[in-house]
Amino acid sequence: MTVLPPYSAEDQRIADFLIDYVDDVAPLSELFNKYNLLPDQVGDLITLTDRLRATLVMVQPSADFVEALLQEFGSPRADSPAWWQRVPRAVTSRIPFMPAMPDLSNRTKLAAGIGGLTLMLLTARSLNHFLSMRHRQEAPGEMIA
Amino acid sequence: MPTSARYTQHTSPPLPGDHRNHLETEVFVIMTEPETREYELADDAQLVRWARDDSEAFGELYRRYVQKIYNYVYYRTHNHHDAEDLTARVFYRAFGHIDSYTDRGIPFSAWLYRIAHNLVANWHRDRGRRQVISLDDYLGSSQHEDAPEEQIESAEEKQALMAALSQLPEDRQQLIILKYVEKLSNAEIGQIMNRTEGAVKSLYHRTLLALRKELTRGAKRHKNEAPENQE
Repeated sequence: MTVLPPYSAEDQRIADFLIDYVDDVAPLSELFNKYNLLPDQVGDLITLTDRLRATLVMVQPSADFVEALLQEFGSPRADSPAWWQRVPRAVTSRIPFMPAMPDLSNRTKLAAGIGGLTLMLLTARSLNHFLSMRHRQEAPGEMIA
Repeated sequence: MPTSARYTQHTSPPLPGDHRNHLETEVFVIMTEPETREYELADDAQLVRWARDDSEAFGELYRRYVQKIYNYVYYRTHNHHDAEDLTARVFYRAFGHIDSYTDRGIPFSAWLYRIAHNLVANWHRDRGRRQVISLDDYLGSSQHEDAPEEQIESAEEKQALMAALSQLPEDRQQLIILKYVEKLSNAEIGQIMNRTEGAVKSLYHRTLLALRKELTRGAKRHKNEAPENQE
């Protein structure tokens, strides 16, 4: 890992100046005054900034490429949805408490619904088991008979 | 899916002999396509929510960012074919993982740039190469044999700058592209690079210093090579 040299107060002023210059915050003369800097201190970095501006310009992707990909993403029939995506929203929105969470995806809603149902079934089964055990303990005579 | 679908009602005019009560007048309800307009007006966060169930919403996100992502990738690969391939992969990956994206302070655009950054890093690692920049890329297709001398000089200067830039560490190249090509604010760059605004500023300063050094080194190398070529 490279150890960077300590950053002085002047370095900080130069950094702020350069960022303001590239962001076109104010005319150059104002920036010199604001950060109390002389052209000699940052002249070559200003030139470098201008060279970068002239070189790094936006390029256009080919129209065919953009359009072809748009057909894949923008078309409603483009994707082959997974099974949880095929479940209509009308179904998931009828699951109790779910409409209160409109931002959840179908997959999350379904998972929550299935999880909730499983929990309810397990609880009911445990309760049933507990009650039948209790019933057997309370009536041993009947069992012998 | 947009929830506030708009409807346009067209009432047919009563024909002669039509004794229907005007309340019973046939009403044609034509559902307009709500998507196009609503997608355009929606912000990114809303589109991301819709895109979980609706690929057309993702299409709008794609429209908004395809050029930006393409430019980012292009300036990291210096090649149109690889830029197209990687741009497509960025959007495929985003499309496939849109369910797992949650807006926890990082906007969708920053998430896309992070995906692009990771894919470009993998691309460089897989190829095991530093960027070799073709002068033709910077001379452009308009460059002809009879081009003015200044134009060639300018193209060579640009090539030297790009060569120097490609020698910088990845995070510094990323910062320069986000600043100059994408024209993002320091806050946006900070979100993408996971740094504070202050850290972005100091990194920018150090990057310019390193780039200046690299340019000087490149110029010296060029000067030393020139007499050998003449021999």
